[in-house]
Parts: sequence; structure tokens; C-alpha cells
Amino acid sequence: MFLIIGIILDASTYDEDVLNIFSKIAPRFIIMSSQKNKIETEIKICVLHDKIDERVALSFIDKINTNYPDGIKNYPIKFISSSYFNIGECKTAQLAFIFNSDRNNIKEAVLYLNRQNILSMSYEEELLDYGVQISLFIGRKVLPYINMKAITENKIELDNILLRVSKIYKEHER
Amino acid sequence: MIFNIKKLIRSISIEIKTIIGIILFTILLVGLERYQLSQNIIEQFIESKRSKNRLLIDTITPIIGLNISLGLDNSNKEYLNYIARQNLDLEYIELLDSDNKLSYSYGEKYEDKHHSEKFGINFCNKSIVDSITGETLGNVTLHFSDKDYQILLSKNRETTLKIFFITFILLSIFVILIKKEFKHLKKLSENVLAYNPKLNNFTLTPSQRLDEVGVIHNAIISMVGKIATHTKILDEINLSLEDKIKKRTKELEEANKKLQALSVTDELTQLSNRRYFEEYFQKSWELAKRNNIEISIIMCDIDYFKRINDTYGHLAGDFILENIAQILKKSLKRNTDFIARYGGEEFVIVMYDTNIDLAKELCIKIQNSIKNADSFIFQGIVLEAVTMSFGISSTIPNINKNSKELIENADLALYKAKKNGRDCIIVF
Repeated sequence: MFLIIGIILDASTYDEDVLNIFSKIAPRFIIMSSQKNKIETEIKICVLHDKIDERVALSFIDKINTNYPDGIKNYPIKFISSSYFNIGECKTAQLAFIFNSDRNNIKEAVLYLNRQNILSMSYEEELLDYGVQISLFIGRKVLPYINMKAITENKIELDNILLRVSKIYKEHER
Repeated sequence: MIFNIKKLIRSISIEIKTIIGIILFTILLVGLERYQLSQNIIEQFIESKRSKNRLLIDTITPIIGLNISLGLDNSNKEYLNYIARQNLDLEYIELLDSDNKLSYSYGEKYEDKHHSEKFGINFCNKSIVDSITGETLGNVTLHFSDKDYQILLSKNRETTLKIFFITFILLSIFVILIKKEFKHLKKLSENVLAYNPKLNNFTLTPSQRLDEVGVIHNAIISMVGKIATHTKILDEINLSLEDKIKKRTKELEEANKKLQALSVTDELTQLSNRRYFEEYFQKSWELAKRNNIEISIIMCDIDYFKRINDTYGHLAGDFILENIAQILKKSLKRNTDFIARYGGEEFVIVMYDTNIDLAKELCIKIQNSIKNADSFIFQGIVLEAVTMSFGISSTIPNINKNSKELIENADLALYKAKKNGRDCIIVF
């Protein structure tokens, strides 16, 4: 019933386990990248979503809070839950998690995030084609999926060890 | 004990000492070098193996840690499988979670083998810590095969054996060479020992070798040559000395004979002297006593001899004495008859195995010889006629008789002859 309603409302379905993995990965990518230099007193994660995915976004925030109840490395984690239309709210965030949306919204968001030097992470791996920097590769195993081109173009540096546990995205490979 | 050892060492030939010394020295040197090198190789191998193992575990633990912290357990399994494939010496991998529950394992665990860790190269263990939170996420254990270590030890043993075999071959060659060198020296020493300068039997010829053996060889030949030359000179000197000694010995013997004769001879008359008379008479007495044979003594004296000396001088007296002595000497025919100058103008005759009649007969013969003799002419002067008085004593010696008595009796008879007017014979 929910699925039918979701399809009707152009909503996406999200796997809880995958979201859980994302919730674990997201704060770590901030700490294990040059984004950590942007941290002043707290880690800020912007969660971009359509109105329809608001509940999922909140669920995702809950998962992060559950996994990191005390924050990470003594930094509390603050969340900015924002719609694509209010993307300006993400300006001070170190990472933006992108839920599915219209491809134009995605393009716009990616442009903005790159301009603001904000690390972008998407639930859908195909969004890497649009310039999103990080996603998850879900195949025989689950791996962080890194768009190295997008990362380097935005002069973001990742910890070497992250690269070793991740799969590197190559255009037209998927 | 120490003295015995020293004595034993001194009694061993230089050849044996050299061979034993070189063998011991070489084996010790090669052994020590080989031992040290083996130790270094093994230590380096162990260290490199440890480093490699440590590097591996240090490399994989952050990745495993990150995978765990990211909740990517499947990634860890694939990653560790990949690590196992890349490291052929990895026999066993064990991954425990924070509750010590086995979350992954690879290979078979041989408890005995991996508990007896050898040099820290078989076993590696490390806690997995979240680099961000510092939280312990689990523990990873790696067990490595020691096959490469065993291969190293085996190859090392093989190399050691090869080195010792080559050393043995080289030492054998060295021993043969040494023995060959010493054979030359032995031959040389045998020739030197057998060398007799008198036979000149040194047969070795000069050596063409330029080493120490050649130098010693040629030095000995040179020395032998010098010895031969000096021996020849010494032989010549010895021969000359022997001749001289023979000549001197002969001269000495002659001189001794003369001295002997002089010691028993009266110089003027060349008759035996009184000392020799005493000796001769005593022997004759003892012999006659042993054989129970009669012995006679004749004491005779030149009459008026003092007057001759006074009238013609002592030289004329001596001349008379010499001539009378010759007459007396000629009168004795038997070997056993003995005459000596008793003193002054007095003479004594010992007649062995002679009775009084035969003695008297000799006295008469002497008297006649003197009377019939040519006149004594001394320095152109005809000396007056000379007569002699005789006293005879005769006896068969025995244990109760004294030899001196026979002389005293003859002397007493002579005294009576003088008293009776001289130129007569009185028998005691």
C-alpha cells in the first residue's frame, strides 16, 4: 500500500541496512578527509531531501545519532535537514547527504555543494554520474564508492585508508 | 704433567706440528666465520620475516578496523581472503570481534604448531582499534608457515657442508704439498746424518730451487764442501802429528832406556853400580834359596890403588879402573855371572849355582888375565903393574841365613887377603 502510494507520489524506497551503513560512513568521511579542517566546534551534516522523503531523512539522522550518540572525536554532530529549494542552509555543513530527487535538483545541488566545498554523499550510486562524490557500491559486497574525479576537482583530500577500503568510481563503468 | 706435555710437543716433528696447526687454525677460522655468517643470515632472515609480518598486520588492521567501524563485514572477509591469497606463507587467519567471538577464519589452525612460536616469525597478533574513537573492535591473529625458514636452515647447512668439503680438499692439497716439501728436507737431513767426512759420501747435487728449501739445500752442500776440505787438512795434520808422536815416543823410549841404564850403571867403568848389585843379589839369593842352590860372592879390590892415584893422578886411577873393569867383565862367561863396581876400587862378583872351588877358579883366571895383560900406558907413561886381592864366600841360602852375611863374609875374606900381603885369594 505504502509502496503504491510512494510510487504514486514519486517517492523512492530506501533500505534500512544501507541507510545504516551510510549513517556509519558519513561522519567518518568528514573526520577522515580534509573536511575535518572545516570543523570549528561541531560536525555539521546537511541532509538534502524532497518533502516526500522527510521521514526517511529524519530516520537517517536518528541512525547517525544512534551510532554516534556522543558525536565523534569529541565533536558533537549537528544536522541540517533541508529541501533542495533551501539548499543555502547547508552552507556551513562539511557533508551533505543527498536523497533522491529530480535530476535537475540533483545537478543544481551538486553545483552548489561543489561551489561551497561541501562533501557530497548520495544514497543512489547512479548520482555519481551527476558529480556526487561518495556513494555505496552494493554488489557481492558493500563498499564505499568514491568519485575520485569529483573529489579531486573540488580539492578535497581523503585519508588513504578510506581509499583502500573503497571502490573508485569510473565514468561509464557502471 | 705440564713438563710431560712440553716434552710430548717437543718430540712431535715440525711437519706434524705445522700440519696439525694449519688444520686446526683453518677449521677454527672457517668454522667461526661460517657460524657467524649463518647466525647473521638467520638473524637477518628472522628480522626481515618479523618486519614483513609486522608490516602486514600493521597494514591490514586499520583497514579491517575501518571496515568493522563502517559495518562492512563482508568487505573484511573478501579483503582477508585477498590477503591470504597474496601471502602464500599465511597458514591461518583469525578475526575475533570485540566480544572475542570468531567473525572470520582462514585456513586450519594447528594448535601445537602455533603455540610453539619460533623466533616470533610464526605468529602475529594485534588488537583492532578504531582510529577515530579509540574503541577496541576486535583482534586479528596471523599464523605463518616456517617452511621458508626451514628451507633457509637446510640451504645454510648445505652451504656449510660444501664449504667444509672444499676446505677439506684444500687442506688435503696443502698437506700433500707440505709433505712433499718436508720430503725434500727429510732426504736432506738423512744425507746429512749419513754423511761421513772421511768417506766423503754426500751424494746430493746443488738445487735449482730459489725458495728457502733450495737455500738450505745449497747452504748444506756448501757446508759439506767446507767440512771435506777442512777434514782433508786435518787428516794431513793428524798424519804429520802421528809421525811426530811416533818419533818422539821412540826418542823417549830410548832416553828412558838410557836413563834406566844410567841408573843401574857405573859411569866410569860401565859396570853395574852398587844399587843394582843389591837388587840383583837379593833376587839371586831368593832364587837360590827357593831352588836350594849354592851361591858365591867374590869381593875384589885393586891393590895399592891410593898410591897409583897419588903417584899418577886420579885420571890415571880412573884409567886403571876402566881397564880392570874390562878385564873382569871379559872373565865372566856365564849369563848368570854378575859383576858390579862396589865402591872406589872395590868390585863384587855374584856367581849363581857356583861352589867355592869354581869361584876360586874364576879368581885365579882373573889374576892371570891381569898379569898377562899389556902394561897400562896412560898419557905416554907406563904405569906400574896392578894386582888384585880376592875374598870369596859361598853358601846355600836357607831360611836361617841372611844374605848380608854372605857379603860380609866375602868382605872379611878380602880384608884377610889384604892383611896377608895382597895379590892373593882368601876363602871365608
